[in-house]
Amino acid sequence: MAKGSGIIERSLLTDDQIMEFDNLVMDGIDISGRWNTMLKSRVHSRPELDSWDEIRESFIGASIDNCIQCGMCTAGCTVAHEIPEFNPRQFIYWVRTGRQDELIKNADVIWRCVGCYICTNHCPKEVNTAEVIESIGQWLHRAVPEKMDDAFKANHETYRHQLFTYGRLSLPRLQAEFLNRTGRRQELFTAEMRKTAVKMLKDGRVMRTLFIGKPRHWSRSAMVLSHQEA
Amino acid sequence: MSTSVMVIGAGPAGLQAASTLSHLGFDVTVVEQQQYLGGAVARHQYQVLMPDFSSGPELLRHLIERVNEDPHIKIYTGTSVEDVSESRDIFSITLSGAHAETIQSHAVVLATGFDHFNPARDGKYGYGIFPDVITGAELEEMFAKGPIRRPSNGEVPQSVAFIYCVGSRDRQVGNTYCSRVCCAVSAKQSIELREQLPKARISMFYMDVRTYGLWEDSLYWRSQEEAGVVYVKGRIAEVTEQHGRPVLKGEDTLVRGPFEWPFDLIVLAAGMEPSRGTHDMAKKFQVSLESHGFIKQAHTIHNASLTDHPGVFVAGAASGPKAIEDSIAEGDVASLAVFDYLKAKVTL
Repeated sequence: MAKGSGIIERSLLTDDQIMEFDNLVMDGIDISGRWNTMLKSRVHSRPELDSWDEIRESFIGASIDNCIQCGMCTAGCTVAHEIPEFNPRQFIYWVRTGRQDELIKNADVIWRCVGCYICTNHCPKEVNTAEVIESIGQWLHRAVPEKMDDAFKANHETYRHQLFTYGRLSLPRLQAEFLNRTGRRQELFTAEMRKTAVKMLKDGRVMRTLFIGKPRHWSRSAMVLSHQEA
Repeated sequence: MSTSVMVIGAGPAGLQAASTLSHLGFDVTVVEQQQYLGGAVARHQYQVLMPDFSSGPELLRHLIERVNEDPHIKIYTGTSVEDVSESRDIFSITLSGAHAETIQSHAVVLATGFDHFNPARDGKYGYGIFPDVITGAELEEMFAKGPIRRPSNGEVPQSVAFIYCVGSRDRQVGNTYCSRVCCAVSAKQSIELREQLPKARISMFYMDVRTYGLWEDSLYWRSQEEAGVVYVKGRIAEVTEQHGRPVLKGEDTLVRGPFEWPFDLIVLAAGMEPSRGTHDMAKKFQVSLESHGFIKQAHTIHNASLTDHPGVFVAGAASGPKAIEDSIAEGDVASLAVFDYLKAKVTL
C-alpha cells in the first residue's frame, strides 16, 4: 500500500513527513499495521547555524550578511524561472535561520546555477549572490556529498582537479576528464571526434588547446590554494 | 540699517521660513531659480497631499499669498546665487538672472530641496523605453491634467503596479538611504486611483512598507481595506514588454517563487536625491554635506536647522528626504534659529 494512504488530505504531505512501520510495539502494545502511521513534527525547533559561520567566513561567502531578503536575486535569476526549487534568496534565508534540513533537500538543485551573475549585478545590498550560493553549495558538498548528482560531482571534481594541477583550464582536457570520470570514455573516440582531432592536429589547434602550460611559479600558488583547501 | 535674511529656495520650507522671519521682524529676500513659487508641489502640480488628502493648490495659495502680501519680503524668481563672500559675519551675495544685484545678508536659510531620482539611470525598470512605465511624480501630473490613461494607447488601465524603492536603498545606484515618503505617497496614490478605476487590479511591489507613525492605518491599511490594493513582498528585478504591455519580473518572497506578471501601467516610486541647487549652495556657503550628499545638520537632535557654518541654516529636504509637513515645520525651526543667532549680534 502507498505510504500514508490512510491519511485524508494526503496531498498536503510529503513522503518524508510520514512514518510507517511494518511492526511496532509501544509501551507493550502492539500497533503493527496501519495504526502506527505517524507524522513527524512540523515544528522546526533546532536551528543549525554552523553552516552559516562556515559560509560567512569563506572568501566567496563573506557578503551573505548583507542580505535584506528583497528577492531581487531570484526575481532576475536565469535558472529560477526554469527550476522553481532553485531560489538563491531562499538558500540564503535557510542558511541564516539554521534550516540545514531544507538546504540538504536541495543539495543537488543548488548546482544548477549557470554563473550568469545577474543576481550579483542586481543586488541592491551588494551581496555577491552568485558566489554566496557557490559557497553554500561547497558547504553542502562537504556535508552531504552523497546528495550531489553524479554528473555534477564529476564535473565539479574535474574542474577542481584541472585547476589545481595546471592552474589553467583547457576545454578539451576538461571534456576528456569529465567523460572519463562518468564512464563515458568511449564517446571520446567516435568518428566525429576523430575527424575533429585530425583537423585540429593539422591546423595546429591541438598544440594551442592541449599544451597550455602553467602560470609562472604555479607550484607556489597551488600550495596556497591547497592550503586553503585543507 | 535693518537686518536682512536671505532664503534660498521657494518650496514649502522656504516660503514658510520667509513668512515667519518677516513676522519676527527681519527683511527677507527669497531667491528662487525657477519662474514659479512652490517647489516640487508646484512643479508636479500635486493636487492631493499626503498624508491628509488636503489640497495641494490650496496649500500653495496659502503659502504664496502670505509672502506676496508681506511688504518685508522681496521675491526674486528666475534668480540664482552667483557668488558669496563673507566679512565680519555679513554675507555679500551676488545674484544673477532676473535680479542681478548684490545683497548684504546677516543670515541665510538654505531651502534648496531635493530632486526626484531619475529612473532612467537604473536600466532594469525600462523607464524611458516603455511608455507605460511612469514615475510617481508623473502620476501626480496625470491626476492634475485629467483622467488616468495609458500613455502608450490612451486606454483606461485595467491593472496598475507600483514599484517601491526605485533609486532608494540600493547600493547599485549609490543611494543607500530610505526616501521616507514614497511608501505613504504610493498608498495615497493607490487610494486616489481606486476612485477612478473601480475595477482595476492595483498591486504594490515592496521590500518593506514604511508608512511610519500615524500613516500606518490612515494610508497603508486604508489602501488595503478600502481600496482593495494588494501588497506583494519582493523587489522587481526587471521590466520587459510583451504584447504591448510591461511585464514585471520578480519573486513573491512570501510564497517563494518567481513570477512574470503583465500590467497596463507601472508607477515607479522614485526616491529623493539632494538637488543640484543643494550641492551648489553648500559649496558656495561652505557648509558640509553628510555622507549621502544632503546638507549636514551640525546637531541633528538639538536643532534641525543648524549647519556647521554659523549664520547659514537649513530647512526642508535639503538636509534629507522629508514630507511636506516636516519641511514646513523646519521652515519655522530655521526662522527661530536665525532669530536666536541674530538677536545676540544686531539691535533690531
